[in-house]
Amino acid sequence: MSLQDEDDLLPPPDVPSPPLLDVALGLAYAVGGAGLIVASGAFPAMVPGTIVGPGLMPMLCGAIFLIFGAVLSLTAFQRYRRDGNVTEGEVERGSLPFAIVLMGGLVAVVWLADYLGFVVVSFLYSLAVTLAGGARWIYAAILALSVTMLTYVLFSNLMRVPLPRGSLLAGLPF
Amino acid sequence: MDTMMQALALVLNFETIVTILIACLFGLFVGAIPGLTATMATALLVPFTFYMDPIPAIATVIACTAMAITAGDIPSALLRIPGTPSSAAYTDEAYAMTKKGQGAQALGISIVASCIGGIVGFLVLAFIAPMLAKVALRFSSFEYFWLAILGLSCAALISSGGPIKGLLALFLGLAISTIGMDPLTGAPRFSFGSVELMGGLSFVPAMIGLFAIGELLRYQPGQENLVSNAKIRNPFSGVGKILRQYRVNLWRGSLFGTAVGALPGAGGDLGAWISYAMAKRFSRTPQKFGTGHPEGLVEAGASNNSALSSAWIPAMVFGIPGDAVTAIAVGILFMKGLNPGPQLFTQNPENFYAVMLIFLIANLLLIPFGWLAVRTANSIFRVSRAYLNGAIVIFCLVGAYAVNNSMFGVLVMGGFGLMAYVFHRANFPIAPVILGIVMGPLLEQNFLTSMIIARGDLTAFFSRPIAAGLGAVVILLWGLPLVLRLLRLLRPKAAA
Repeated sequence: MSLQDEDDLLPPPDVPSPPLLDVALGLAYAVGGAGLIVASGAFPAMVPGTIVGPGLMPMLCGAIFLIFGAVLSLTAFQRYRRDGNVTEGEVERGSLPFAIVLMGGLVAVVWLADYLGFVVVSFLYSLAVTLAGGARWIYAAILALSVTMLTYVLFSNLMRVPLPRGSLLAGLPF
Repeated sequence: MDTMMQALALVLNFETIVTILIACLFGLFVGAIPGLTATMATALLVPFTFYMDPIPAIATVIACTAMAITAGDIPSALLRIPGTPSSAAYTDEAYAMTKKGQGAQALGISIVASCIGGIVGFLVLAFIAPMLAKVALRFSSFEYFWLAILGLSCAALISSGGPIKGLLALFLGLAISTIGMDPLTGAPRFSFGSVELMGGLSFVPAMIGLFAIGELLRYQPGQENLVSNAKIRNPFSGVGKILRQYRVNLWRGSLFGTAVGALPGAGGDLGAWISYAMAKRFSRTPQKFGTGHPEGLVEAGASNNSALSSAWIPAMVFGIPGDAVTAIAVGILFMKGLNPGPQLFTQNPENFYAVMLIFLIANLLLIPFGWLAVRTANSIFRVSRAYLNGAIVIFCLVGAYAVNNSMFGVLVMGGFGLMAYVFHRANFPIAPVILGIVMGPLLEQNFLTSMIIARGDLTAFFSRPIAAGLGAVVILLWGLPLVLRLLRLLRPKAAA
């Protein structure tokens, strides 16, 4: 079997990634790696005269980040100089408004859960995400309410997970 | 015999059977929806396992994965959209059969071949794993260190995006696993005074973020629901005759998938691709491939599920997961106190055999549930992603919260979701990250223990025969691509 034949046995390669994104990620890895090496140097060694101790594993990770992050950045930069930043294929990029609702909603849930309680925040969050996906509001509201209540009963009543009850709505049964 | 009876009692009870049935339905539903993966289905189920007994908890993962992988063939055959990555190997072939009016038969072949492949994988697991465990009982920290490195190396090298990205993703997982208490001294690391960070980052919110939130972030609203025009009749009609005709492919796919699945880090995806290519290479009619010919479908379908079963060999025997799903399962086993490893076979053999029985049941259930999935395929395709997303976010929320009953888990999940999105855009693999998080403590503990025993002398890692052999394999694994590249560079010059 030739080397070319061996290649045929493998899945087709994925779409190429944008070189500048690789450059940025490689740099982030390299900088993070350098930081990790410095930070892990502060841990004491367990075997005197060696680096064996709590800092060894983070230091190894840092070294790998530094070396291979730099290699990734450099090779991606070479690719950018040769081909430009136009090689992104059919990647599912998603939608910015939907992503904002999804991630913004998550942050809002963390902030508001202690005040409004699990039932209210998860209903609102689910409703917002469903509507952001283009659903009809009446069906979205029915789905959000029913899944929220089902999850609440399942986790809070049956599995005894202490889901936040919310200080503002303390008088309500959920 | 006594052990087997105890295992039967652990499996054949109301809780476990109901759990298996619900997990099968859930896996079938999620696997059949294009864009939702078997790993995501498993990740979403983990929070429900917190409060279950160990055997029903692990049953959910096994049943859900087996069903989701098989259900992934449905959109693959009817819509030409692979439901799971392993279905992608034979999507065009199955769709070509659908265009010829044989869509139901393509699915029938896939379901029955998956069932047989899964049972072959189960048999190998049941007989090989206890034998390997006897050998593994003699392993020291040196051998475990090399085994962990071998598994992680395979995961990094085989992953999409190339070895450098695989390596960086893997080490990111390992670096994340160092947050919190050091496993040997208990010294806090990178906790910045936070009590939550001192306990380390739990793998559950990380996994939900990577596989569910990351997936949601790639969702594009307004995508039309796809409905197949194929006429769906009894999927099993005529399948027996085809499987008899291609019985060599069936057994070759099953055995090859089992062998590939047992390699740490390889998994069913690679098995399916190689099996399809092998079927074509050894076929008497290779020109028929791609035109709706069932030969490759038989071999790759069998390979798919046999690899799924045998991927549990390194997970159960050594506690070293081979892919993202077994990494999740190993995490659950640790959470439940059923620490995987050779001791599982000596201290709790009934638990191991119970897991085996679940495999057998899950694979046998592929036939009735597969039939159900094929018959209801178009109804499943009609379920709008917009509504599904609304339900998924609530499961994600409560799952990430319930690990430590803290909103910190939700923040961690969000962070990992963003990371998964960026990684996907940059073609970084996700599975090595979760493997790194799960395997990090084991790897570090064995590495540090070995280093303390050897007083920092690295040659001690090659002082025992098995350790030296495993070390040589790891070096070969990383060195071989470089040698091959060198050979390719030299070949044109030699030809000239």
